[in-house]
Amino acid sequence: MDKATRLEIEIGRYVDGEMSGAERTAMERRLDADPELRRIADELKAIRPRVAEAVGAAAGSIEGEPLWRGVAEHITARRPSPLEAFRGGLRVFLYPRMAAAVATVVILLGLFILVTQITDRGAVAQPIVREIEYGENPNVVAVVEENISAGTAVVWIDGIDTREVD
Amino acid sequence: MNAKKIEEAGAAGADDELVRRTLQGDHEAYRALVTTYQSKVYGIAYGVVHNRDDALDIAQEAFIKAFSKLRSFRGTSSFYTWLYRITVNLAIDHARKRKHLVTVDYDESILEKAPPEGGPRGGGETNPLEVLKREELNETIMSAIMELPEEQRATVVLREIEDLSYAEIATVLGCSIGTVMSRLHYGRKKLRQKLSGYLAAEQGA
Repeated sequence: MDKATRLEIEIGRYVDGEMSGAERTAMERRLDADPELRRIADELKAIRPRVAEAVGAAAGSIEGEPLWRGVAEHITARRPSPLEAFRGGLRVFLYPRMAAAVATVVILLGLFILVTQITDRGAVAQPIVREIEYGENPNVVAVVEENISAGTAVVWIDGIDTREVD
Repeated sequence: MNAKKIEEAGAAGADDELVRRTLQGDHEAYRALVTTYQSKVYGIAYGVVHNRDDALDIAQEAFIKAFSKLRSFRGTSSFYTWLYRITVNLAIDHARKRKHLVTVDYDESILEKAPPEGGPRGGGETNPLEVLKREELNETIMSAIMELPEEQRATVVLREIEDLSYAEIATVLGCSIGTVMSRLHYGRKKLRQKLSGYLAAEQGA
């Protein structure tokens, strides 16, 4: 941006009342000292009423009632679509406390269902021993266990004197 | 605080109350907001699209859109700058689409506004020569405004017609104050060039 452009922008700020008191005083001194700058300021001041008048004359005035009637028809007849209703439901997550409460309820419900299912299936019950295999080492046996939730597993038990068991 | 700012603060408080009532389902409150701002919203739309029917459609659409989005209005800015932002966005979109579709723009409503032959026209002027000059100037200004890029046009309209501050214009257009100053400068420069003959004659008179 060149110096002249910057100066014209400053004159615009002066004309628009966007300057502080000190800035205005400094600008008025500059305008008094430079007729060319004063001419630019005067032209900018003259443009505003001209533009307002031209647009006002071309646009004319509007009647209030027809505009309101058109707006009212839309806002009173309008019902939210299913998608909008769904989005409205999601709006709850905009509010942290509400979201935290919903999340807590969901987590507690999930835990309750999980615990109920595990208990029902006997996952917390003792596994059923299906087979015991004795090897050459009398201190080691392989126990085949069956668990409903975990399936079949082979557990090696070391340190037992199987001869005493027998 | 100057008189304009006190008046604006009072209006903003009244607007907030009307917004609150509208959100509670009071359509009469929204009607009051429409009545308050319809002329300004229409004026902004007209300043950008330069067509009465289109400007009316945009004004209506802006109020409908504002109503449907009212819950998302956070109140961080004033209601009117939020409403003007909706209006300007709709008007700029419309102007851009129209630029691609229409090569010759003709506003029929200008004919509708024509007074009976021999009758006085605009501004209370009765001297036919003065009337003619005034109309010619108005047409020159309107065509100069329409030659500006949409964002510059909207900036000039918000400043020169709606008398918004730079900060308010920046809020409405969603840009920085520096951008507002720049757009205003280039827009006004083009207007000054187009109107140089008229402005020189006025200053010489």
